[in-house]
Formats: sequence, structure tokens, C-alpha cells
Amino acid sequence: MEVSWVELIKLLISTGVCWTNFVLIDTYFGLPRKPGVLGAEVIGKTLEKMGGDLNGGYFMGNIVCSPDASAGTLMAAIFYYLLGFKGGLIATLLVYIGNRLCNDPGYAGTFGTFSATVIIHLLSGFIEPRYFIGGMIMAIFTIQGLYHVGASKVLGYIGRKLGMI
Amino acid sequence: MDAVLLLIGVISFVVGLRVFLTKNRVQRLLYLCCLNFAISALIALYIKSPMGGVVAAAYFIGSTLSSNAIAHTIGKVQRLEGRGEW
Amino acid sequence: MLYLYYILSVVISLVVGFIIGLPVEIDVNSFKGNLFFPTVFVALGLTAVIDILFNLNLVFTLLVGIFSPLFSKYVDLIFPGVSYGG
Repeated sequence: MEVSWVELIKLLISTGVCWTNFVLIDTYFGLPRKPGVLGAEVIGKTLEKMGGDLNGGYFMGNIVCSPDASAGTLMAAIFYYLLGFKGGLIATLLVYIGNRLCNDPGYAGTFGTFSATVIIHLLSGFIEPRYFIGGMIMAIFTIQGLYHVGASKVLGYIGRKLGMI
Repeated sequence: MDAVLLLIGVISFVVGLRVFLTKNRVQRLLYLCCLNFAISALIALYIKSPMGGVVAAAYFIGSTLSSNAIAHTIGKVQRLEGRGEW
Repeated sequence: MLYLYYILSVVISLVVGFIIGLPVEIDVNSFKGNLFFPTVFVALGLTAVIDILFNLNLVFTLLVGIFSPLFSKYVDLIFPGVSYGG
């Protein structure tokens, strides 16, 4: 098998698009400001003790404890890949129900899914929807799987820059 | 096998290994969250039908629900034991 | 042409929601529904589900337009907060 440069460039572009989408929408709807549930508070406090940022830790804890715009972007990519633009609308409904099951008002997840669907639809001429699935996994890996302390610092810095804390 | 499947496979392998290697319970939960994302994407990429999407969504929401409950329990246990560590 | 039904269901749901007295202002921290959230997204999602399972026509559009503001009005009773057993 060979992996062409075009595929790698498409993956990198979709990673950047997904990362920007879910970080901006989650920050705007106040994920770094306060922990929604007790579990997010535990994760934020632990990361602060390890040398990270408290508000970035709340952000990461809220991602773990409730399907927010990160899950919404993944679901939008999956359903757009399988069903087209209508699939993105169905994903919005499913993410809203999942949000409410996890004790969350549901604004971040719903708006994140809808905006991701619109962005994927606008970019679908250049980048096929399956690359957005890989790009979203890459984006969530840079936050939840690579280096937690550094990721929490970056997320706290972005939240402070946007004035949302 | 193309670039997307290869990327997701490598990431889920690395993260799955780190789940076993780390000793911190809270960090293990963060790695598991990333692993759930990867598994959900793999389900949708292998089952190329609308039902595959529904299965991926159901798996993902269920795993998030259980992560929520586990993190909540860790917080409750810390409060009962009266210590601020993990 | 098919997108007309989507727009029509959203418009009907907004009109019905205005008639049954949903609050207009948006409160991001509240668990209660308002005129735009989640009415618009429930209407779009249900219309898409019906579009894939059956065919869209005026009757289904009207039903979705009546159902989604009612769902939005009683959403804090249908999905109350989780209590974790005290």
C-alpha cells in the first residue's frame, strides 16, 4: 500500500478545521469556565496538581463527561459520510439527546454539530467527508492522548485570550 | 486500507497501550475517552451503512455516560476519604 | 425543491411555538427550552429522519411542526437532570 501526499495534506487540513471548530465553540459556550458535573471538577483539580491549567482541565473534563462539540464534530463527520447533509441534521438530534442524558443543557454539542455539518458541506468539493473522520480523531488525540499538562495549558490560554473565563 | 484507516488504527493502538502504562486513574480516563472516539470512528468506517452510524452514535453516547459515572464516583470517593489526590 | 419542506417545518414550528408561549430570550445556562433552542434543531432532525425512512409530504411536515415546540416546552420534564442516587 502507498499513502500519497494528497491524502496526507487533506488529513492535515481537516485536522486543523475540526480542531478550530470544536475548540472555538466549546470555549464560547463556557466549557473552561466551570465544571458542569463533579467528574469534570475532579479531572481539572488533578491536572492542576500535576502542573497544568485549572480551566483547561475543566475543559478536558467536560469533554470526557458529556458529548460536547468534540463529539458533535465526530458524529457530524460520520453521519455526513454515511447519509449526506440530512445525516448531519440527524446527528444534531442524537447529540442533543446524548447531552441531555449526561446532565448538560446541550447548547455546545448541538451548535458544534450543526456548524461542523455546514463546514463539511461547504468543503465537500475539495475534501471528502471520510478525511474529516480521521482529522477529528487526530484532533482529539492532540488534546486527550498526547500530553495532558501541555494541552490543558494551551486550552486555558485560548480561553483567556477569548475572554471567556 | 487507506490513510484514514491506518491513522485511526495507529492512534488507537498507541492510546490503548498508554491506558495500560499509566498509573494515574484520572489520566487513564482521558486516554479512554480518546480510545472511545477512535472505536466509534472505526465502527462507522467498517459498517458503511446508515445503521453503522446509529451504532457508532449509540456506542459513543453510552461510553460517555459510563465515563461520566466513573468520574463522578472517583470524586465521591475522594470526598469520603477526605484526601485531594487521585 | 425538497429543501422547501425543511424550511416549512421550521417556520411552522416557530409559529406554533410563538402561539403556545415559549420564551423568546436565550439563556445558555438554563435547562428549559426556548423558542429557538431546541425547537429548530428538533424540527430539522425529525424532518431528516422522516425524509430517509418515508417520503416527505405536507402532513408529515405539519406533524413535525406541531410536535417540536411541544417537545421544547416540556423538555425539562422529558429529560430531567441526572441525580446519581443522592
